[in-house]
Amino acid sequence: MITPMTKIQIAVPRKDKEALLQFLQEEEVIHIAENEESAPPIASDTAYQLAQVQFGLEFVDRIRRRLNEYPKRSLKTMFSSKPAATLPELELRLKTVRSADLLLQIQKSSDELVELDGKVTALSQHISSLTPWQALRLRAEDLGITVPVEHALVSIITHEESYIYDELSNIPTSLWQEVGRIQEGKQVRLYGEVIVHKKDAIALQKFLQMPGVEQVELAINGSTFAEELQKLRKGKTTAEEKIQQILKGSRQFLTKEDDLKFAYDALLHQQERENVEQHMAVMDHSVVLTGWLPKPWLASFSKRTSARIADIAISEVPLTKQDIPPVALTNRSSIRPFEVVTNIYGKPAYHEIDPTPALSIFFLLAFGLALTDAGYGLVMVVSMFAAERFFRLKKEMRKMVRLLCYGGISTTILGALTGGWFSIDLNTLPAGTIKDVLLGIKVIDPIAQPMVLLGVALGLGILQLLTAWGVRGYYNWKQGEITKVLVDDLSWITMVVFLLGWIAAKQQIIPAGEDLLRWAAIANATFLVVTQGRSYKNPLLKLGSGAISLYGLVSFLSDTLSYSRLLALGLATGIIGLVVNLVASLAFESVPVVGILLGIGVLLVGHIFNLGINALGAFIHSGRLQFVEFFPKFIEGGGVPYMPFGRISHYVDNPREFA
Amino acid sequence: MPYGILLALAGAGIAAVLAGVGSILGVRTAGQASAGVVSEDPDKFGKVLLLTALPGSQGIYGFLAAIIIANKIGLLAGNVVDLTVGHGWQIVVAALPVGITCLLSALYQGRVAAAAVNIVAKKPEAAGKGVILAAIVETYAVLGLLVTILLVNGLTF
Repeated sequence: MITPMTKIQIAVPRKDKEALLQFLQEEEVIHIAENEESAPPIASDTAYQLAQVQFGLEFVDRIRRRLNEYPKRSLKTMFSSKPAATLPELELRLKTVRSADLLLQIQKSSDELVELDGKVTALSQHISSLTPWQALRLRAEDLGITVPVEHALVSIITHEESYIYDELSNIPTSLWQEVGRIQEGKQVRLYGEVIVHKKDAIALQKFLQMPGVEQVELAINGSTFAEELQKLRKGKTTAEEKIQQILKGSRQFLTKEDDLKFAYDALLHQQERENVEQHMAVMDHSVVLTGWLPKPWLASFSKRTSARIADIAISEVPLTKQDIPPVALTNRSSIRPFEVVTNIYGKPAYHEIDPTPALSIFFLLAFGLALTDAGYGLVMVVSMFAAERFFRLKKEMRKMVRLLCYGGISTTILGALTGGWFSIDLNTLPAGTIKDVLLGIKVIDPIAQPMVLLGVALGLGILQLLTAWGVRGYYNWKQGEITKVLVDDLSWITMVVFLLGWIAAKQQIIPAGEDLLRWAAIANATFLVVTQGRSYKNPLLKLGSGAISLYGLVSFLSDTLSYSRLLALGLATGIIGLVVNLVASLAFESVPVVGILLGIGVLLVGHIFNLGINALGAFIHSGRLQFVEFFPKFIEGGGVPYMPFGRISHYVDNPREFA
Repeated sequence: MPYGILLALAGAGIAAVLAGVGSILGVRTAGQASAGVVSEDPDKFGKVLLLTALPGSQGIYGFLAAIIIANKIGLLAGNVVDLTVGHGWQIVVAALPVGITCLLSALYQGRVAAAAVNIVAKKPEAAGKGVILAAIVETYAVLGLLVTILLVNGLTF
């Protein structure tokens, strides 16, 4: 059902504002109503503090990666690896971080590390630029000697070395001294010195402008290239040693990562409270917050808040036409997992009916029909049961796991009725009790009798679509619209029943009553023609609109046919499973021993894939039948979801989410 | 007659392939739009997944029509009916309604679904309306399937 909501105002003295906000954030029950006269934005440095803590966490992550030290993860926390803590616990850790000057220490280490990293990078670049020249026994000052020659250190990349030498030989006084070479794919990079007499300086400049020729300027002071390289390498080693020392010293920050994460979330929640503050009306001595609360919780909420804050006043506010209450769903525990399906569609409007209880049984039947393999069903039941039992799951995830568990039960039953056991042909099983039992409970063979299963799928569709009119009738009856119940809901149900009965009698599926059912259908259709256009004043429009309304039968037919997808999905599961078994049997027979291992691998991977892909398809298409064929008969949707003010956690979960 | 059965198989193939191609293209269009929304807000994955899957129905209808044809000619029961060339052509013609309506409706449903993904992005609470808008396009694929089922069932060999 849709939870009745009440709009309340909470007033507290100004001094208790923070206590109230913290309490509300921890309780997560009040959906904040927008205040038209919002307070101006609050001046706060929370965003700056958040950035600082974020920086600290990034630094810790950097250190972790460089030291290659990662925390161990357990199987139990596979679906929820975050720690959980209450709001006061988060606040406490924030205080610890502040008092230990942790962020200042991190900032200092980070600055040192950045500086040394930059130094190492610069030295590495310098070393790599000088390395090709280390064989050149020339001092830097030699490059500027006054004898009448020109020197140039060049790096040349070329496909054709001889071409370069030819060009150099065109300069009469040129001398080429190769220092090193590196093969780069099909090209070669040459490092060397070109010396020419000053009279050939222009020819040298021309040579230096050739494609692939690059003059190199190297910064060395009074030493050979080899001596300079040695100096640089020593400097780099010293810097790297210092980096290692800092990394070693920073290992202590790894143990503080949790503190930083808790502090981050504490600040994040502080920021959320500041955002809510803007929706508070501020009086001279008090502040007032307006919000929505599920009506059944009002008494206990008032009691708990009064116990926490002595000077508090809570009052219900009368609703106006502009008020749009948020929508929350309340169902008993067996139905609650199906809220996952409804939530994918969106919330119904506040005044509408909750479709969850009505869809539950049809969703399960559709899911089971779309899989129709008892083996897969059992695997789902066992794995979902294990997930719920052994993993730490949040509320929403637990709902989903429970829903899939129900889906597994439905698949097991419908799979057993259709003889689906991992797509094994039951007739090939060795004679015995198991074979007799499995064949005994098999009612339909989907591959040999697809039309029978199609009939079952369409029958489910007809039943669900008739239920949709029934649900709409129930809603109209609750609203006191008895005429609508009779004319718009029941009359359509009887119309379809009479029509189907007439067809069944004609096909001799039911023994007698063909004439009676035909006349009943005609009478019902006449009734619809007369009544469905009753909103018009003009008699012609009344009848015309009534006649057009019979098009609804075509829509009914179209919606029913949509359920044929369940047969197709069920068959697809079975046929893919058959192919997996066939490939595995070929593998078993291929090579002794290895073939058995290969076959087992094919069976495991194949069936897990088949289950995964078809369970997803079954979920989506069973959901679609609810959203497209079922819901529009009685709800429009578009309700505002009930989103109580609470904690939007980043690193630390709220323990209540697991309660 | 081998040509009769060949044509009947071609009919089943036409139904499955045309509808399948339509679904491939439709799901691609909707999927691209959905990926854009999910890149901004991963929490909307559930809602856009449904819209992405909508144009996939036509592929299922085509598959279903192929199964019905295979069943009609006794392929599934392992007792293939002796078909004339005329019978084969009848099956090909009967397969066309589902093939063509599914191909085109899946293509265009993909476009409507992609537009509806925008509804999810801007007004997630109205996602249901987007689903319904996209689903309307599919009505005609269902009618095509119905015509094929009626035609195939009406054939006598």
